[in-house]
Amino acid sequence: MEAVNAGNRDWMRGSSPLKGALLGLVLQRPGHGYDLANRLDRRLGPAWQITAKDLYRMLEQLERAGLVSSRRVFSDGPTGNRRVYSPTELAEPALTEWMHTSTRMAPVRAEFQAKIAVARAQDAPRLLAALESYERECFALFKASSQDAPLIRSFAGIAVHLSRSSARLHLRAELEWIVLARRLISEVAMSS
Amino acid sequence: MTLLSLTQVTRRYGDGRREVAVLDRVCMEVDAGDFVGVWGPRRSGKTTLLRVAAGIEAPNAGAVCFDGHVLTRMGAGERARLLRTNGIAHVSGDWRPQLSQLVVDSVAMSLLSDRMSLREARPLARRALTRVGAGDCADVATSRLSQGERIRVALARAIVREPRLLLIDEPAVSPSPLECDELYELLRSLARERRLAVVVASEDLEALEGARRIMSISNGELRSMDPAGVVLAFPERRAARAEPSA
Repeated sequence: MEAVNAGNRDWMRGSSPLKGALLGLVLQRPGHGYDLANRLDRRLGPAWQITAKDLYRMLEQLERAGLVSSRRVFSDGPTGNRRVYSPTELAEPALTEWMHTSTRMAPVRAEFQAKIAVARAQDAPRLLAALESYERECFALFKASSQDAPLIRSFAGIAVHLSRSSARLHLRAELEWIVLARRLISEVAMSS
Repeated sequence: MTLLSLTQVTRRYGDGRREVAVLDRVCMEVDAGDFVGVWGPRRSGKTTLLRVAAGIEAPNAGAVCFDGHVLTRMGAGERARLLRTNGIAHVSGDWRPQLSQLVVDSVAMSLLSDRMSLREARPLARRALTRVGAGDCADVATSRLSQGERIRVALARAIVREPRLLLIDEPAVSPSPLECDELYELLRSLARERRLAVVVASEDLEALEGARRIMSISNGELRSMDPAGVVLAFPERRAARAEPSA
């Protein structure tokens, strides 16, 4: 097994946000692949289209990074022996670090949903900080697109206006979603 | 120079059973000539923020200062005197005239409390209407105005007193996209005028285009959305675009 130090973020690189969520689930309770796939599917919903192949690939990567370990256990079911995955002592700090990382623009909702799905009470401040950083990113994008545009009096003007409106409406939806997420996380954090 | 400052301002509303902090220890500074955009969804506290900043509504805690004067320590009369001329103007995009009268008189009315006669006030009102691109509405009854024209007339009523700070709450409530486009360009050109600081609060991001600083309000909190300590400068827009005549 490859050793990782606490600051090693290789396991997060280029990965689907599912990997972080999967690590969170293993930390909550060890399980075999099929069990973990079901739990991930229940937490995140069918829209994620989690496949067994992806799941085993991610478990393999987590194991290579030293965040989970596996052992074969006897099972008298139709599938015979099963490999059960458990967290190592590096799993907890790695998950905490992932909670804190700023999320990339495009899949942010998906990544944030993944974080929420396995968040613990103590993660609330990190999630709120990540939300704020995403909010800033949205406004930075808005500002970056605030350039001269012709008034809507020609087809060129209409084209620019429609293109910008599409971007603005998308950003506005993201911002409203951030407000909702912040409110819900704050309320749950205060009540727990 | 800081023209307006809100320090740890809290405004709560309650119905006897529970209280909600619409503004929770909010801080904000607006400099002379600044253009600040405040974004927030519906019921996020934008209207309350601007009403408290304008001295229309008193906060439960905290201080509001304008041009070195602490508004929250003043009596209503003293505050009104300070803000009347070269002070703060507050405009709401859903402004509707109470009376049906000529538009020019509706704008001139804003000056009557300065012991000015209607005859003296009318030329200033016409000039303000021209400045916001509504000069052709001057002799029309207020009841005949379209939504887009009403907003421009509301702006004329605000700027006729030559304020140093213009607070605009949700400027475009329901005009057409074309009217919105021109209205937002007008706001940007007003913000470019020397001495006039503008704060626009809207849920529509387009209304905030051109703002030098952006803030976000929700759950009672106001956050600056600019990188710490950096005020982003935007290129001057082309002068040829829909510049209101002076």
